[in-house]
Amino acid sequence: MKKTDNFVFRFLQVVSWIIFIGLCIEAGGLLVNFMVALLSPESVSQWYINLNLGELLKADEFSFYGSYLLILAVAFFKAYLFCIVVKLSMKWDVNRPFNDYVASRITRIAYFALIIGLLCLITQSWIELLVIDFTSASALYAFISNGQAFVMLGTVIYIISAIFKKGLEVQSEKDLTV
Amino acid sequence: MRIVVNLDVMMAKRKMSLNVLSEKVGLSVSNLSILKTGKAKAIRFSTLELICKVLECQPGDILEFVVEN
Repeated sequence: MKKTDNFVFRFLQVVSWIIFIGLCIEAGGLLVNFMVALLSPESVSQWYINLNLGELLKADEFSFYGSYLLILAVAFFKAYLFCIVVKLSMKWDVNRPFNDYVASRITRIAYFALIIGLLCLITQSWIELLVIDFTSASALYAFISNGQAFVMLGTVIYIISAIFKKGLEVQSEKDLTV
Repeated sequence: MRIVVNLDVMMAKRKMSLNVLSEKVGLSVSNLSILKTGKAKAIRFSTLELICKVLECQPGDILEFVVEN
């Protein structure tokens, strides 16, 4: 690999780690908030990143827990997605780039990106149904925006994973050609 | 239906070991082993030519088409 490519790869590895840690902190913060909401609903207005959902909890508990669980699921899936990206960047072997491990991880990244995108879109639609009397909905959108971007990302990565699997097949055949 | 590699049969007939064959053909022992054990997916004509030259045989002596029921 050229020096420039190597530098860019290492830089992106560091960026992936930073994003992964940030997503873990966000998912952890949302989980702790959710558990506090279950145990002590009256403190719901003093929350993580001032996510004040007291109005929604008072108006409709089912909607509150439903939308919060969806947001929690999106946060955890995003953290897991970047966990796969980080593991892949650490284990990638430049001498044998086409192997089953990389192919399976790329496919998994594609599936999770699609799942995250679809969950974001579903959660956005759910929240839009609730926001008639709920003024703090905009705070929730920060956690579930970019649903379309994730769907597009998932589609593109899925196509790349299909090409990668074909490359793996060709490489295996080459390895077993005497 | 498959292609069976009878390299071990020819090697036994010529009383040649895998190491000696690999030196004469110029292939690694592991590659020849892949061929001998039937795990190879393809063989180059250049490789087949060298093996036939060293073992003094025809391609049909090494490769056999078998119909499986």
